[in-house]
Amino acid sequence: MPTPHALIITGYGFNCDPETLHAYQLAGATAQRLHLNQLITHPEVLDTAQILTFQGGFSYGDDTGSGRGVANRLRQIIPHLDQFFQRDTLTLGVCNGFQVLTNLGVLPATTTDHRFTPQGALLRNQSHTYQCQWVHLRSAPDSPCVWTQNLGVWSTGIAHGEGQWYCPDDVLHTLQSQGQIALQYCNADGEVSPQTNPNGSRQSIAGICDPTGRIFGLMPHPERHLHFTNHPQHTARRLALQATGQPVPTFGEGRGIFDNAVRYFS
Amino acid sequence: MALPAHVFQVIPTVPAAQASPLTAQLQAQGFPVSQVTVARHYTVVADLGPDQRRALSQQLTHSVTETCLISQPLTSQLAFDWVIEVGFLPGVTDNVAHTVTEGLQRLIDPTSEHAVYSSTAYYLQGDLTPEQIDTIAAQWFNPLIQRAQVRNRADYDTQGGLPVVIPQVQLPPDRPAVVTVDLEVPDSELQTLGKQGILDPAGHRRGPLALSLTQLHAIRDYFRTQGRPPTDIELESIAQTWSEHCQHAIFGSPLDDIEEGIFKRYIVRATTEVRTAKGDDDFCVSVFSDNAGGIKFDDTHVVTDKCETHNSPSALDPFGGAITGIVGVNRDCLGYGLGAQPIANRYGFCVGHPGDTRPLYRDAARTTPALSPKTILQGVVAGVNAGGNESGIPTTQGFVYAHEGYRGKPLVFAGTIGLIPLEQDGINLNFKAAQPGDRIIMAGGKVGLDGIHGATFSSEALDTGSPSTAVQIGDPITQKKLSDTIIYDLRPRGLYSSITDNGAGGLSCSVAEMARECGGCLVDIEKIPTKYPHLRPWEIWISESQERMTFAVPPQNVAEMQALCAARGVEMWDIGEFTADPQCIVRHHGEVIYQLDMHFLHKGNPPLQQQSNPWVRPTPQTVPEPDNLHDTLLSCLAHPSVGSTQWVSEQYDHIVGGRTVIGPLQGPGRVNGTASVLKPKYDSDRGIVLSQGLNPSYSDLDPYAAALASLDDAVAAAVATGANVDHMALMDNFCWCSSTDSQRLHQLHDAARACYDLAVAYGCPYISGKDSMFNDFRGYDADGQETLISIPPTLLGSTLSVIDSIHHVQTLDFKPHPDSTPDTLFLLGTTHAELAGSLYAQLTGVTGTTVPQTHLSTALARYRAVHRAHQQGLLRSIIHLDRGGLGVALSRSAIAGQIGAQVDLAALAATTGLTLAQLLLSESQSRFLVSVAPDQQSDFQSLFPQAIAVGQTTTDHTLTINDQQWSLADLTTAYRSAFSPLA
Repeated sequence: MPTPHALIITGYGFNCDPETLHAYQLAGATAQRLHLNQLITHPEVLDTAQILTFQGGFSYGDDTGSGRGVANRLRQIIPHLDQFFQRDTLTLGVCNGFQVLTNLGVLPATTTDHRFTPQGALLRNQSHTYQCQWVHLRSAPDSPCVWTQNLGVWSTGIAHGEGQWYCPDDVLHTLQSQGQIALQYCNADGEVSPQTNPNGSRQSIAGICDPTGRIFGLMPHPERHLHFTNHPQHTARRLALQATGQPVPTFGEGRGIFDNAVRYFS
Repeated sequence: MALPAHVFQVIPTVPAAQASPLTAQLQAQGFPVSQVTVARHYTVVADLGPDQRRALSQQLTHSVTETCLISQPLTSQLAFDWVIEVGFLPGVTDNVAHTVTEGLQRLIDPTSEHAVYSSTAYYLQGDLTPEQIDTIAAQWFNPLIQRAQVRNRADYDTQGGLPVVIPQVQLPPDRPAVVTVDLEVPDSELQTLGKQGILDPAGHRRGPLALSLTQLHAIRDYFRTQGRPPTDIELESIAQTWSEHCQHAIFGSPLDDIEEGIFKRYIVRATTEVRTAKGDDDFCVSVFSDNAGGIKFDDTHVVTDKCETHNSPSALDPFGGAITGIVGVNRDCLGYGLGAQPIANRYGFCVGHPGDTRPLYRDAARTTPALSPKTILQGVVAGVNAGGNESGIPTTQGFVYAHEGYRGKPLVFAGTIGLIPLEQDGINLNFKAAQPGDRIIMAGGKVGLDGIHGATFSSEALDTGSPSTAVQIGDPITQKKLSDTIIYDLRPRGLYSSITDNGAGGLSCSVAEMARECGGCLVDIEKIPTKYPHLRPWEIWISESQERMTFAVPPQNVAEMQALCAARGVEMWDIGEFTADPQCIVRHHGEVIYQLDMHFLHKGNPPLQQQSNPWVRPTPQTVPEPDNLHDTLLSCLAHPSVGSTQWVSEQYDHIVGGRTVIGPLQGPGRVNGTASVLKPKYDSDRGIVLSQGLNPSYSDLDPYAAALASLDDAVAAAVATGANVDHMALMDNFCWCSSTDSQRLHQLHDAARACYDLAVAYGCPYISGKDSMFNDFRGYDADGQETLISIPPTLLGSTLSVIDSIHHVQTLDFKPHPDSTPDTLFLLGTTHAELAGSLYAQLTGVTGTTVPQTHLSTALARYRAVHRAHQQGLLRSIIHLDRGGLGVALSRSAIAGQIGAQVDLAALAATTGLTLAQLLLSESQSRFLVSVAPDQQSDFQSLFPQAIAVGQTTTDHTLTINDQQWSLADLTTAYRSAFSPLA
């Protein structure tokens, strides 16, 4: 398989494209910014891509609900999206992109029949404020999620006002039984508890995949921890590593998400 | 026939979605409320069939958590006893409605008539009296921009829900487009014209032109040479261009014997001398002439910086003022050269003490209260939240400063740092020039009455039918679309020859400014799109409607630009032509209604005649020793000028872009730093350091020393983090008060002199700056007594510097040592008994006499040595000593690292003759506290032979200073209590 090609949907207030582009390039993919309008008018561009990314930001200013404006527009090209998802492709939604996929019903889509029917929602954080902070994350070892394979416990930043995962009990049970809860907020030791839940999500859910594991959405921003120096305590971490004679890494822990995606195609 | 109005009411249906913080807020205030549920309402005026109504409701509703009722009252969907609906007044920017309109247009013929208005409905459960509900409603809307209606459940049910409100702007269709203004009148009438504005044919004055008699005489003389009276659009436009806001006449005009004015004498001259002295090492690319300043980042890129203030609007509508401030300065970045990409924002809020509840009124009858410091702070914090976060620009740095002088009028600083290539296809992107024949393109949004005459436009015009002109609300998403299109589509294709921001004065300033690059301009005013019909030409020309940039586009590129903008959902309009003829001409349907010589417009403003008089030195006072040093330190940490602003930092996205290396919070204890670091390019380890400094509490004691200290604090904060003082640029933001007062002018002169002295001594050029000269509140106190509250003269110093490697930066937190070997703490710099104006002095209420003096040459040597220490990796933590002195610095480093320290200042007290309190509380300049590992001490001390060892880090959670002890828990609690219960 040749180098995968990643599309990063831009425009209307999405705002993480420079670092997302950089993330895919670091991982070894070719990556391209593609404006939402171009995707809507020329959905056939999906035919030649392997990875589709809905990035973070404030599409349509979160007006009428985060992610809803773009999801409404994507409904115009559902057949093309469905075709893309059915191929052996990968799809990622980060933060606002996760909100888009949730509104569109692409996640969690507990069965193929549910694809494009919303089953969950990302509500206002329980704190009712926008929160930008660093979090630890636990990747479920038994999840089919392609994106989080072998990542264990890692850390990166969150920055959102509407990240509280909500779904009814029956959906939550299905998510658990199908291994769709790919990522949870936790402490540095990987322990999940209400104290480490930054937004009140059910089950401390930070990221969800579809049953195939190829479509993944998460509120945290892996593309903001591509370099060691992105970590807010990198100065202390550097000194600690140096004091014990260990090498100081160049890259950060968020890169693994993108490496996994590229590795999938190798 | 009137179109039907459909009200789409979107109601949360699951408890997690219904939860609102308002419930707890009202309960905390003692209201008997058990639940507040917030619903979104959209009033859609359009011809909609059942299918269209259903489709639109699906667009607006999340099927899992919400339900939508269309034009029918709520019945059993929610239990409630009262409802409060809050919507916008006519003409106020309604961003949500804008988004809904776009979705609506996919369902209907977009050319058919339609309009959308959004509002918010609060459904309250609780046994509230009508008086209580009115009190609650008053908290939830700002009558300058919003309206509210309240119903109890019984009335709601019998009346079939809430009355439909359609806040459509309706302007009289039959007003004359243009009137002439007779200037051949007695001086008294001219003065009335200047103060109250042009007499409208409808019989009222249009609002202040703020033109002096001298200026009006100059205008009259000009029109005598033209043999005709001015039109209203000409006079309004001259008033904008000649305003203090735009031309900075106080800084630019002669003062005493300084013929060239203090801006040229001190600021410009400092930069010129620094650049000359640096020779080949001069890193300036663009200074003073553009919307921002720019310095070299590396061989291929330039970093830009600009800091603006938005004070008056923020006093009236803090949210609107602050959001407009931040998105406005983003446009300054986009308007630098041929368009720089914004990569970081910073802010500063100077407010009254958040706990100060003494009322102030704008009128003698005490019917119009001024907003409280707490309300202002909440609003401006929220404004930068919305503006910065939605624009996707990280807010890596900022501050809150509290002083009672700001309780009448706050200061809101907003700055943006940008990145731009030096060249593209051999063209220097850092310069621009409109060419004769270029089309004048306005892009972004349409024009309304927003911001006409700014906040001075009287509130009597704000009745139900008239638009709210006093306040503008930014639309970050419209601007983000425009910004992306400029950076990714238009600039790379080289489609335009010049670009500038539409800010103060709107098109009247932006077009006329760009016209100077080529000669003149010719505008057809009817081609400028408006938000609603019947605007008059003068209103269109000076409107400050947001999110607009003006471009000069060669005619052959217009079609390509139009196509690109359309593909990106960006609106643009061709409104005229740049010309070689040095005339600014505006036509209205072919008829010339405005024709001014460019030279007169830009150079005709008569200089001010300014005389200063020495300011009166306050009576000497001695700041008393504290009774209880233990509690004093805790009080310093709990002061809002020092205490944690984590609650602000964490609601601002400071990591978007993936460029942040040191953000607003440092160490596991999350302590706010005073400098931040970014890595602008993903493939380069070079970095930039940003910092800010201000010491307004010294100003009335010694404005020269205050200005030096402000700038020096900014420099030292950057140096502490890792900046190189030899590749550092400065920015000055002067916010003064009563600036026609001769003593205030003298203080201004002193401060400007300090700017020169510091810049030349440190070799740091100014690249940009701004001033705001009349920050005075004139109103009435609780007893109806007339009150003047002037801000303390405030100079905000900001730095932007470039470092070779981000791997050599350091943070302020004490670091744990793997084998528990303590680090040694060293104090760098000399402590004097300089307590006047200090944080401690403010706590005592005694101002003192001697404010900190800055010793420029010793400071510079220290800054260079600190940079070498960073490069050699000798510092395990470093903090710059500023507000609160050594005591606060020790505490902040300890809290940040959650590591204790054992400090002994007895020896230092003996050698300096200072008391322990003086050593801990003095704010002497240019000092640092560093921690150094035992095995690096000798290397460190050879760099700093005069470093004073003051103690060491410990493994217990205690800060011990001589015989005094503080637990880390107590320090942390005090530090985080500064804004309780806001935080």
